[in-house]
Amino acid sequence: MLNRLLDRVVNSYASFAMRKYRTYPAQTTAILFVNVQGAFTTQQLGIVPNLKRLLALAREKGFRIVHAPFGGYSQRYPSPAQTQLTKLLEAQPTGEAIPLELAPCSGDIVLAARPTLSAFMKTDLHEQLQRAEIEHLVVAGPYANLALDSTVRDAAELGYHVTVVTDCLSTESDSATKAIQVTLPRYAQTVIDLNTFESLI
Amino acid sequence: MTVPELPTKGSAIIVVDPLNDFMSWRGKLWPLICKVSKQVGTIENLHRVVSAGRESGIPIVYAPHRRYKKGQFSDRKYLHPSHIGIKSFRVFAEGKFGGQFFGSLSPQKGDLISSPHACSSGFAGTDLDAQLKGAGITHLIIIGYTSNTCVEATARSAVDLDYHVTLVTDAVATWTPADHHAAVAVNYGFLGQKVVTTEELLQVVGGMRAKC
Repeated sequence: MLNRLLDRVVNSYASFAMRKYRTYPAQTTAILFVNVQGAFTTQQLGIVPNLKRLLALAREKGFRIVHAPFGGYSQRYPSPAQTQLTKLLEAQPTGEAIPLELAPCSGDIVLAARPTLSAFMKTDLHEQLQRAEIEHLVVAGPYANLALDSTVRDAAELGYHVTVVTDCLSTESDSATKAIQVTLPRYAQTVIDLNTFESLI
Repeated sequence: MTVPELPTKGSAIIVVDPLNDFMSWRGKLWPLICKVSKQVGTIENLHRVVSAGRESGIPIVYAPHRRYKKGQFSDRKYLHPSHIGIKSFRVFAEGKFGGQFFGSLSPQKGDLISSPHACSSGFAGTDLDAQLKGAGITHLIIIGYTSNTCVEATARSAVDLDYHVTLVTDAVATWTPADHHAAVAVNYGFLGQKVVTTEELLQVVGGMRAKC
């Protein structure tokens, strides 16, 4: 009881202090799609309509679109998360591809497929975002407690204002959803749903 | 449950943030973290793992948080959520009690100490990876504070840096039981090649000594 109350007070204080970050200028905002690939979205079709809506909003506002796909797996000590993602990729012949309705256009950044959970680890994502002068990173994608979680942690570490749009991510179980609901606000400064995000931009 | 094997040479125990502000009853974060810490017996288990490691000759590696000093965040436009509390309450203050290693879990001669991490992952912006690779370490046992933040973030980086990761469900603690559950009962299973209790780990570590 006291524990929960104290935790809430501390979190509310931090959330209040970070509210001023919630601006999304077109020049400095990017949408980062983590593992938005057919192999994963076909397992969690529920988020596709919201990802389409997020993409349409981003195009309308002129935000930078970035895709960070998973693949090319070659770890010596595979974690269960990486093994699971690799199996899903291998189960579909075109599983690595970005779904057609979310296809990138010219000007979007599409990273090379990476074998790591975090989209920042062993990739040039940070350099590309720095070059594009991105400060606000809006993160979305399926199997969110695996790669998206690692990516959000690294993004916050690197100094971005990280926004997680709660209905633009999905997981494979209720327990995994609960886990990200608890942990992601410890890293992302802004955790909001798509309607709220739309009202802010 | 089968007891996992770890190599005698090439394993290390990574102790994340064993600082007074987390571990001492006089620490600034103690009121927040004491509930889970007492429930799972974290402090006792950390001692048991570290002592068993020392007896078996397994390297103990410290991955401490950066100590707070005024102006530390002046180069950051967007503070990490954890920085808000650190800045407001001067958590892990440099040169003060809260920023010091917890007495009985302080580094000893021969231990490795990584350069401090600024936010969460023990690998981010530190020499931890270089020190481990330099010592020929491939298998990590990651324990300390907190279950779903710094320990899990360190494990996530370790996975991406291609280490073999063992996580210990009762040698960690965090803010609330819900946070702890999110880490040990959900995400650890996706990150660690091995997820064990202290009791199970001690059997493995004891076996490693016998083989030396």
